Amino acid sequence: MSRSVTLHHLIYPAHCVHNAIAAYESLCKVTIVETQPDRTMVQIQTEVDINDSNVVGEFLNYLLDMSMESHFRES
Amino acid sequence: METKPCHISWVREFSDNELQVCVNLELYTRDALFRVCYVFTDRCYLFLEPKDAGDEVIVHFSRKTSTTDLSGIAGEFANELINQRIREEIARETRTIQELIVAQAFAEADLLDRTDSKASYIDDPRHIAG
Repeated sequence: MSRSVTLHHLIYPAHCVHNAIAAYESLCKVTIVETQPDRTMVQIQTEVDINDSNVVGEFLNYLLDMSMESHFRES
Repeated sequence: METKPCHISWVREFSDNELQVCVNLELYTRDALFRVCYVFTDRCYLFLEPKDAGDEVIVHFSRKTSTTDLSGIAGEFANELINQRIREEIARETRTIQELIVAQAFAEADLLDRTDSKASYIDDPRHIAG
């Protein structure tokens, strides 16, 4: 059970993506499928049906929070 | 997933489980957008997707619980965008006085010119009465 998500660096800086993947290591498997200068595509895998799981949403909220912190720290 | 008609015309897509709102970054700054998104992370899962040119961002909302009303979220989100934009504007307009207040609070010396502040209103040294 997996879902692919494209994360644009305008919103989600690359270092935040890596940090979020590391933080969610014990909850789900997030693999970087493709990296481009402006975006990173990840695949999120869960053991249960991904549609029944909130882990994708939680991962994205966590990543958004980290990205906000990074944005305000740098501005 | 069935897409429903939404009474809010500027909502890009609306269904039972997902709502998409397009935000123009020429009207609302990225700072404002981030602050607004943060307000909604307790009720929704959010995903931000810039459009090709990067001057618009599509905000995807999905509900955290079945009781969350996504159509209500759309209206709240739009109002909060305006709220944050105005806050930014007020912060910009009042930056000098804010800095002065903070500087005064932490300074040992008095930074303000108080030579006239204890004068009698009858003397009117600043000619306020004209």
